[in-house]
Amino acid sequence: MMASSYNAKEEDANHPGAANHAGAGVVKSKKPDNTAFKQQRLPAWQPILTAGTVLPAFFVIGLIFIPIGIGLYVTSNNIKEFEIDYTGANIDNPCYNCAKNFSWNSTAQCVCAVTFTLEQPFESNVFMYYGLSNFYQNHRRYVKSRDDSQLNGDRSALTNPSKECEPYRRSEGSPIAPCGAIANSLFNDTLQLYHIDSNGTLNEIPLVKKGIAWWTDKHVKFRNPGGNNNLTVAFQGTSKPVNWKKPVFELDPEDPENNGFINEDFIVWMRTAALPTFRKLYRIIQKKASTTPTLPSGKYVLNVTYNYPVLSFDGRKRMILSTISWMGGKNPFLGIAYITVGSICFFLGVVLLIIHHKYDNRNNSADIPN
Amino acid sequence: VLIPISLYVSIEVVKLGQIYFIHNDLDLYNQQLDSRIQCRALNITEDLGQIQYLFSDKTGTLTENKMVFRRCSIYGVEYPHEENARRLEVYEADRSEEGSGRSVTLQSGRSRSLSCRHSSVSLHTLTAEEEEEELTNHSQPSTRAFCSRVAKEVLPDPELVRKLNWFLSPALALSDGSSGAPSSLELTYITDFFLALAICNSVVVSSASQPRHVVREEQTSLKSLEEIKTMFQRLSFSPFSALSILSPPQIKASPHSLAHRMFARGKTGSLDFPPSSNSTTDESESSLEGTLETSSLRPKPDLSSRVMEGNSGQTAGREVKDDVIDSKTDGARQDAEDLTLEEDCKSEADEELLYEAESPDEAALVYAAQAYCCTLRGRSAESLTVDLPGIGSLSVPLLHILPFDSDRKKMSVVVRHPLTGQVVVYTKGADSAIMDLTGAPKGADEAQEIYRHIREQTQNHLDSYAREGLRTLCIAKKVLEEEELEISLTLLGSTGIVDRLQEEVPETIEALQKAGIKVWILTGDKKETAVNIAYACKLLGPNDQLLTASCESKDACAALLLELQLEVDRSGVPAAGNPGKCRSDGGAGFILKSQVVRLVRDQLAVMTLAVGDGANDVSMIQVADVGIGISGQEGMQAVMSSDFAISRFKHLRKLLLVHGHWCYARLANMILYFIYKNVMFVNLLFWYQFFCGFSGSVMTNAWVLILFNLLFTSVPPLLCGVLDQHTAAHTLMQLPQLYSASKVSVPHMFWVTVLDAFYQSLVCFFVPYCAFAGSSVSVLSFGSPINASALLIILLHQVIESPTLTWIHALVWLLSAASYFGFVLLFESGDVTLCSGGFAGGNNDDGGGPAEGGR
Repeated sequence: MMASSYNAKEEDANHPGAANHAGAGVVKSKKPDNTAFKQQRLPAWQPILTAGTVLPAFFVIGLIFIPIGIGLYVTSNNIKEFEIDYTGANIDNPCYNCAKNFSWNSTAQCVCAVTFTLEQPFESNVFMYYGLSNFYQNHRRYVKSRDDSQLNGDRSALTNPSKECEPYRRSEGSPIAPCGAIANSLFNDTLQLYHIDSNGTLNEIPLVKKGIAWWTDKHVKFRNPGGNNNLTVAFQGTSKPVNWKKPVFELDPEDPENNGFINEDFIVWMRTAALPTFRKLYRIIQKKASTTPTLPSGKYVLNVTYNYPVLSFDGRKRMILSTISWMGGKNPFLGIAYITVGSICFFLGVVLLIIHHKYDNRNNSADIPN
Repeated sequence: VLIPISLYVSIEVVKLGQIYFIHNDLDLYNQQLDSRIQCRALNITEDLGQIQYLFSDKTGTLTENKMVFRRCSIYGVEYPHEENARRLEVYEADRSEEGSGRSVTLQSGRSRSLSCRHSSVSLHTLTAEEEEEELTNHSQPSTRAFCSRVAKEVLPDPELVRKLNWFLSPALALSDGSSGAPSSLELTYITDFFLALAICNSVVVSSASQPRHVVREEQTSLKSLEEIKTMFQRLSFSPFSALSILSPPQIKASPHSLAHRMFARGKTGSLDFPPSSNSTTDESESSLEGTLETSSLRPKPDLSSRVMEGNSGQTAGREVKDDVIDSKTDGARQDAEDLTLEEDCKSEADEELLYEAESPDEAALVYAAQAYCCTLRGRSAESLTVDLPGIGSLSVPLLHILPFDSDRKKMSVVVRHPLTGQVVVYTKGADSAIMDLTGAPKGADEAQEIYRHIREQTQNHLDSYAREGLRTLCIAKKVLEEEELEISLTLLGSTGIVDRLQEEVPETIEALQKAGIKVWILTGDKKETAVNIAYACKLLGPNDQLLTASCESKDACAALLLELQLEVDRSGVPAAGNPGKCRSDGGAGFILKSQVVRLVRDQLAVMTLAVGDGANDVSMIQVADVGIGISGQEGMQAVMSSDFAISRFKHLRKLLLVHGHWCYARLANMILYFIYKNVMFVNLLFWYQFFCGFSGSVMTNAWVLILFNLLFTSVPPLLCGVLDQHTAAHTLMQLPQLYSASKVSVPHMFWVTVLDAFYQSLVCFFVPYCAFAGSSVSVLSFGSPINASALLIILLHQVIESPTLTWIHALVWLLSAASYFGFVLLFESGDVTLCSGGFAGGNNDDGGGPAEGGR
């Protein structure tokens, strides 16, 4: 890029000179062209920091950043978010027993019910997340332990997964589908939410599982081998990941369209989180047609089918309910940051202005020597 | 990531760009030679900005190497040539005017005034004027640099002209110097002196109409003269032991048959000349010298008539020929005589003769001889054609040439004297070489007394010439009798040649010294000459204390020099502007030059620069850190071995003060910026390790990592290294002190830069981190805003750091940013199946905003 721009200029500069000499019919002079570029006389702007430029800059930054920060902060505060830990690390937690008695071999399912109270009603669509802490989904070896070709429906990769998947590549002689550590550690707790109305009866809240994955992931990146018909046949000759209880084509017993590699829970899991404390979208609670809030304030019960052990690595599991806004989820940091920076700039501006006015000596500042 | 390699490559590219601009600088272009600066080394531009010691050759480097005959001393009598000196001053004054004004009218006006003063040589002036026009039009490089107008025109000294005019008297005995009266002896000296000037050289003659009509063949010495050659070589090396080796038969066998005939002809010619008509001479010449070009045959009758006129007109002057002092009073008559003599010359010089000489000294001397109507007309392998005043054209049989070499420091020609028929050796050389070889001639005590007087006087004159800064040469002759051989040479006289300083040399040296560069001049000149030149070019000021050191051997000299230098350094004398000044003894010559440079460079551990123009400077140029060759009159060896080749010494000023300063500052800042850029970017990845279990995982696509240095931020540092101007050129030229002040405090600046980079990368990483903490952001979605903000901040950093922003900067920044975003969009949308995370999720916000504000 550099070279090309230089050449262009050189030619530009040479052409008039060449034309002149061609007319005279003499040997071309070696005299360098007297162009601003070649003689290094290009008009240049020299940013000299003076009170006249610095002070307005501080004020402008302050005046722009503070409103932005306030806007972000107010928006973030208007977002309603509820978070409850159901790891069962403490004895008073309802899931303590399930966590304590967890065994890979048991076939019986351990269910625990966590009750909580929403102080404020949640308007609009509510997003239900599960959150994990101290879970390094961004570990270098974990991140690459997958086979994207296999997940894209490639048949040869299905029967012969990439070596990156080791040691979760083959199990009992047959290739694992989906292979790799990410898939093997798929989050498989089942969460159900019940609202306890004034009568004390439990009303199950409908949780929508469609639309939680990125569109490009679901339709481009993840595909089932041999289309979506008869996944049992398509996945014949492969074995399920070692930690899974069900094969990949039986992930969703209710919706056959949501099975195989295009299962949305699976897709969400496969998009590895950047930080060790993260949340992943689990379900969406859609806004009701009526004027009643999506989640009215009151008592709720969270039914957890406890399949996912995290205590071994000192992890934590949370269920999060949150509304969203144009700026995403609840996060006061950006607003505070903008307000802080804007305030500092404004304050500095004021201080410098005072200094400038107090100590400004017109005679000296008139001509600043280079 | 990729720091060493990409930094290395960037530095190389930056240096290339710097060379490009140095090469294209209009101020380093010489119109007269149509030559730019040649940058032969591409990778030492920054050294130009750190020079501490400058070693300079004198001749051709500080000076023009265009020699002009200034004055001479013959027979122990000094001829000051004051007219000539005045003319030179006028010329220099004009030239300085020209330097400031540079208008065509001024030039033509000056040329006209000169031609008025010098109507007799109007043709010369005309051509010179043409030459000047050519130069101003700079359409064609001048091929006749030697034959500048100043060098060609020598105004004769009236005193000397008067004495020469006596010589025209037919009554004077010409044959034997020793037997003549004192005045005629002096005249013989004078004629011999000019004959020596005219023939004792290797000048090639050509005319404007017929370029170079006689090809000089150096190697074709007459075979029959091999004996004389060997004899002379022995003679010159060990003059006092030579006698035994030489035997009479050898000498007798030596003359060629042609030489015999010439001898006979010359004798008759000289005897018959005054009464005889010119036709005989013509015929004999045409018959005997068929090889000579016809153009050397002038219309003889015209000449003879003029000569006769001159003779008749001088009868009055002849009456006082014995008394020099008396005749001096007769100024008016003298002028008339001058005129006649000049008229003579004029008629002969109808056709302009051009002399091409190996060294400019030779040409200057030949032109000087021409001014006294002793004109070298042509040259062939066997003979030289010379015009002598009052005699006309003569063919001088050339028996042998002993060419100049730097060991012997002299050259000789062996000819058969056209008038006396004797075999005569004319020798020209450095005073040290000649003075030792001259001895008293055999003869009466009186003659010896006279000769001793001549020697003393000549030595005095030589010393005074040296004090004036003139280059001195001695002329001597020896008559080789057929049988006997005289050992000692007869000293005829000496010449002083002025070699003017190049334009703006004093200013340049003054500026370089102000810049803190210690300037040494290494020269083989006499001490007086060297000191004089040093004063002339402001190397030495009037208040400086002069330390003189002299020593015998090379080693002793080296030790002494070092001691002296350390002494000077310690005592702080350089602060007062007194640089070391070294005179290298000519004998050791160029080897010593390089030794001096190496000594200073190694012992003082300083950055040295050597500048020179000749083959003897090559070693010095190679030894110095930066070698600069001046493409001048002495061939290409210096240029070929140099790092930079310039055409004038004054170019050093801008080359060092402006380009050196710029290149050094640019490269330093470029490297700092480059380090900043990489520390800043790599630290982003480092901070991420705290959040991925130190597993070495990155939040950036591998391609973005690779291309970040390779493409997205590759050009901004180059801009920094090629275009930035921390100080304007004119400021640097006006304040040379800035040169030494430019040395940046490297460790300090380096750590400040690194800390700045750490801070910026912290902001760039943790603002997005806090914004995304606990959210569902994926790895690459997290990395994208970090990369984008880092890139923008790196570009903005340059806006703040760069002292000069041009449209090129703006364009580059635009392209850099666009290339990043374009690449990310294209790559990740086109390849979404393999690489996830092109678009930041719902929680994505611009982390760059607060980061920029934080700056």
